Amino acid sequence: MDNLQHIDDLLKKSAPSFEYAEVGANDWLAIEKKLKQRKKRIYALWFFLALVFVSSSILLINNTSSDKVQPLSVNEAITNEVDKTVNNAGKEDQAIKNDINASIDKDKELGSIQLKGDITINETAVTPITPLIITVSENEVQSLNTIPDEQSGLIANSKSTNSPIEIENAIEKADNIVPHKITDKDEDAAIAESEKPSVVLNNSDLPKSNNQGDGNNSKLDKNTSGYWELGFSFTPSISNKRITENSLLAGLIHVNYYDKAASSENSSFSNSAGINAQYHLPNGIFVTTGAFISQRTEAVNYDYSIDSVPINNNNEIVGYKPQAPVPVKYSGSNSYHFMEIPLNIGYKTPISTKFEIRSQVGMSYLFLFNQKGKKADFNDLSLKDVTNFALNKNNVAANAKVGMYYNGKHFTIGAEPTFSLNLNNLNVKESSAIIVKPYSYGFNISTNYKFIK
Amino acid sequence: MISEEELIERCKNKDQSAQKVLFERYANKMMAVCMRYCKNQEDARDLLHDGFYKVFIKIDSFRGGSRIDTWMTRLFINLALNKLRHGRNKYYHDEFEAKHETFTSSDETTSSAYKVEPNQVLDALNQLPDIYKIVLNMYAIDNMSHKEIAAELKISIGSSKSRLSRARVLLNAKLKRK
Repeated sequence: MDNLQHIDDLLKKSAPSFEYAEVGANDWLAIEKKLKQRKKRIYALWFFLALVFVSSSILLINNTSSDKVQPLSVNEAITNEVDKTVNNAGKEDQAIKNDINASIDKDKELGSIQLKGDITINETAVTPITPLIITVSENEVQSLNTIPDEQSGLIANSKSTNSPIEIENAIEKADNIVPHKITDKDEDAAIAESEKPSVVLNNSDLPKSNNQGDGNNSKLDKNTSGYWELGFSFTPSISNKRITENSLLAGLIHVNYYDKAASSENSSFSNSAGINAQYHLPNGIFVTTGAFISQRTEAVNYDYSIDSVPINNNNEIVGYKPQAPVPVKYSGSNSYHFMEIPLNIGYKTPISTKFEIRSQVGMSYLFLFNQKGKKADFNDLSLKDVTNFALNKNNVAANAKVGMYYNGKHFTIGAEPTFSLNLNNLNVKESSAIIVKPYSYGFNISTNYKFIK
Repeated sequence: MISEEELIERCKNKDQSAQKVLFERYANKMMAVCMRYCKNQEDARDLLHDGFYKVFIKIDSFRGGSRIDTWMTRLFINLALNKLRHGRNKYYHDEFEAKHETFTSSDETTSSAYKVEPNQVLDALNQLPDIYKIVLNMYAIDNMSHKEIAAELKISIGSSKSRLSRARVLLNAKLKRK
C-alpha cells in the first residue's frame, strides 16, 4: 500500500457531499415510458411467437397428412387392392357371383360408379369388373389425366391437364380377377356414392411434398428417396467483430487504444462464394456442405498522433514516456480470406407449389489463408502490417440461414438472409490483449441443380 | 411510511406506485453513483434511467441478502461498465496527460497538505482517464475488493492494483494543483 491512502479517505468523506444534478419528475416519466414500451414489446413478442407457432403447426399438419398418403402411388394402390381381391377370390362361391351380377346390374342402371379419389368408371368399362376401390392421395389425383377410353375405359374426373399415367397393367390384372363378395352394405355405399355429383378436385394450389419440384413432372412427384442438389452460392455481406479483452494481458492495452485506434475500425463490405451441395431427405430435412472462399473485412480510418510510449513491465504498462507526436494517418480495408467448409442441417417447408422456406443452422470450418492490410497495435498504437499479428489459422464459426427458395423441376434458386459468427478468437490468445471474434450478416443467393434418380 | 420489504415485494409484483416510491427514495443516491461513473450530467441521467429500468426488470432476482441500495448500486456500476465497454465512442475521454504518468518519487510520498471542497474532488475524479477513475471509484467509494474489481473489469488482480495506484497518484497531483 502506498502512502496515498488519504486519497481514498478523502473520496469516502467527500462522496456524500458531491453536488449532483437534481433528479426530478421528468426522470420518473422517462423510466415509466421505458417500462410501458417494454410491456408493449413483450405483448408483440408473444403475439409473434403465437403466430409462428400456429402457422408452423398448420404447415406441419398439412405436410404430415399429405406425406401419410403420398408414398403409395396410384399403380401401387391399384395393385394392392387387386391383390387383396385375388386373395379373397378363392373363397367365393357361385352364390356370391350371382350377388355380384345383381349388383353390377344395379350399377348399370345408375350409369356410373364413383370411386374413392373421385375417379369415375364409365358404364361400358365397368361391365366385366366389380367396383374397384382405389385409394389415392389428393396429390396423386391431381396428376391423373384424362385417360383415353380405348385404353381402359377409366376416366379421371379431375380437370387437371397433367400428363397420362400408366394404369393399364393394373386394369389388365383387374380384368382377370374373380370378384370378392360385395355385401349389401358395400353396395348401398356404392350406390350412395354414385348418386352424389362428381366432385372435381382442383389441387393445383396444394403444396407438394417436401422433396418434389414442379407438379407437372410425375417422375419427380413419385420420388420418395433422397436426392442431391449441387450449385453455386454467393453471399454479399457486412463484416464486423466483437472485441473483448484478454484478462491476462489487459494491462498491456494502451490507455488511448479504444479512443484513438479501436474507434476508427468499422464494419465493411465482404463476401463469400463457392460450390454448394445439399442432400435432401424425403421428410423435409436436408444437409448442406460445400467449399467456399469467404472474406471478412474491417474498414480502418486512423487519424491520430502517438505522443507517449508505454513502459511495459511484466505484462503491465507501468507508465508512459512522452515523445514528440508521431502522426498516424491511414485509411483502408483489412481483409482476411478463409477457405470455408460448412456443415449445416436444415428443414424446408413448402408454402406453395413453387416456393418453399428453407431454414438451416450449423457450423463452418474456416482456414485462414490470407490476410492483408494495416492495423494499430494495442500496446503502442503504432501501425503494423496485419501479417505481423498472430492469428489462428483454424477457426470455427456458427451459421444460421432462413430464406425463400423457388423450387423448379430441375433447379432451385434461393435468397436467404444469413448470419455467421466466429466461435473462437481470431487472434492467438497468448499474444494479444485484444480478442477479436468476427461475424458477418448478409444475403445468400444460391442456384442449385437437382440430381433426381 | 411503507416498509422496505413491502416496497420491494410490491415492486416485484410490478406495482407502479411502489416503483415510483422506490425511485423517489433512491434516485439521488443512484444519481451520485451515475455521476461518479460518467463524464457528464447527460450521460449520468441516461444511466439513471437505464439503471432504474433494469432495477424494476431484475428486482425479482433480489433475494434480500443485502440492502436494496447496495444491490442497486452494484447493478448501476455493472450497467455503467457495460456502457463504457460497448459505447466507448459515445463517452467523452480527456486527452491522456502523459506527464502525470511519468511520476516522480515526490508525487508518491507527498501527503495531503491541501484542503479541497467535495466538488473539487469530484471534478478531479472526473478528469481521470476512465480506466483509473473506475478502479478508484470501485475500490475507494464502493468498497469493492481487487478480486471483485478484476472480475467486473475482466482484468487481473495485479492490473487492478496497478491501476488503483496510478489513479491515486493522478488524483493527488490534480488536487494539489487546485
